[in-house]
Amino acid sequence: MAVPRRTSRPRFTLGLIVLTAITLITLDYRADGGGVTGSVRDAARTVLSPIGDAVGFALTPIGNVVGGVLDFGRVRHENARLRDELAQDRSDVIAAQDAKRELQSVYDQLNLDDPGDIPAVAARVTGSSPSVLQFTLEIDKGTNDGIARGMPVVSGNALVGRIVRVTSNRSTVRLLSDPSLSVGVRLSRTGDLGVATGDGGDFVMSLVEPTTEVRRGDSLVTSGLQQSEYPPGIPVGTVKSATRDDSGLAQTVRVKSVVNLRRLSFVRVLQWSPE
Amino acid sequence: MVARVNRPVRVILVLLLLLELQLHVVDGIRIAGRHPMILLLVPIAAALEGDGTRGAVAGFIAGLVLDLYLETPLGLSALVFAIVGYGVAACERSVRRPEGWLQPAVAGIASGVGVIGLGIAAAVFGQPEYFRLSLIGAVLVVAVTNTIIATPVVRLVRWALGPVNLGGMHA
Repeated sequence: MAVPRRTSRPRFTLGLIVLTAITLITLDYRADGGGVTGSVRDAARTVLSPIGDAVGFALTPIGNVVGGVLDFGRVRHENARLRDELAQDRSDVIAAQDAKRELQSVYDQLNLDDPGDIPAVAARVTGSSPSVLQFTLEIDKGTNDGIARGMPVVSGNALVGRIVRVTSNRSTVRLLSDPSLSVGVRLSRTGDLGVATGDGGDFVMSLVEPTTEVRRGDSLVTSGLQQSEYPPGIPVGTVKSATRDDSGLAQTVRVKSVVNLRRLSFVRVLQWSPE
Repeated sequence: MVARVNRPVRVILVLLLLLELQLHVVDGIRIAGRHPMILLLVPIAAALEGDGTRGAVAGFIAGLVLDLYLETPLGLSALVFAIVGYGVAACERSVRRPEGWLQPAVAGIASGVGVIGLGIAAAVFGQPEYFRLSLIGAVLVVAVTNTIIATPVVRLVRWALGPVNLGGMHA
């Protein structure tokens, strides 16, 4: 029986494909998300978005049901924990109101922006990233609504990420949990500074002095230092744990986001850019 | 003639279906914070049902479609998916064609390797932050879930691509 030739053509095809893919990657890398490849991406997303919206309307409930069943135990546990936290937070609100008045006077004296005063665009989350590497989500507002690349995105008053791609009616938000996103943060209790970087689920605050006393539950806000990409004072997360590095020269702090980044339905895009 | 006209339509239909399933159903299913990756099954199924050429071409197209929705460089998933498709066909050639329960097992292993490949490719092309220890979680989730859903996806891809012509395609 004759054995069909099985090697030459597939190898040639693969070689051609690898070459094409590397060319595309190089073009996209050089264009930094813009250029021809960026335009192709934006056009494809714009054209496919109505189909996606229609299919999403029909299919998203199925995904929610399956996801809900898989998450049931965790959600019940989370619900109980949130009830406890709510009771605690109600008493904290009273104390916070007084602190807020004092903070406002500091903002006024230093001529700083109050994050609560920054104009914002409310947007609905239309989907999350299909990637297993990246942590992004899509929202239903774009340049037509005054959104621009680099703007911070919050849920409630807590930071969730920043805009990395904008089309006329869609934007992509890179979440805090994405390993490529870093945020300058400050420990509210001690005032110590550090950098928080995404780690898939939670994020990690690095560059913390070994002598700094970090407690579980300490809250983190954006530092808002000069040239910072975020306004100061936006809540980022709370400390889960802190460990000293092997070298003893720094400590690594694991931080949990204030909001559940996996279950966002609506967000606000702050129309703010660094000075 | 009818088959020739219908095949591209079937391929586009299946790709769009799997893409929308990925975006609106699969992405809502989180296991340990990671979600399955159904589109990675396209090159694997094409290779299992066809040959290296089919696996590579199907992988390139499916990866490119996925790349439109990602912030990694355009062509990164296309490159990895094509290599996965070719690799599955090459491995299959060295042993016997997997059938029955072996097909999902091969699909699961190849999916896990594909996720590692994505991490390596991201690191090579300037995004080393994505190749880290936490990627193991994604490898396990994608490998296990793709093993479970491999059989229907392989059948869907078989329907879309039709029978492979070994003689004509030098498979």
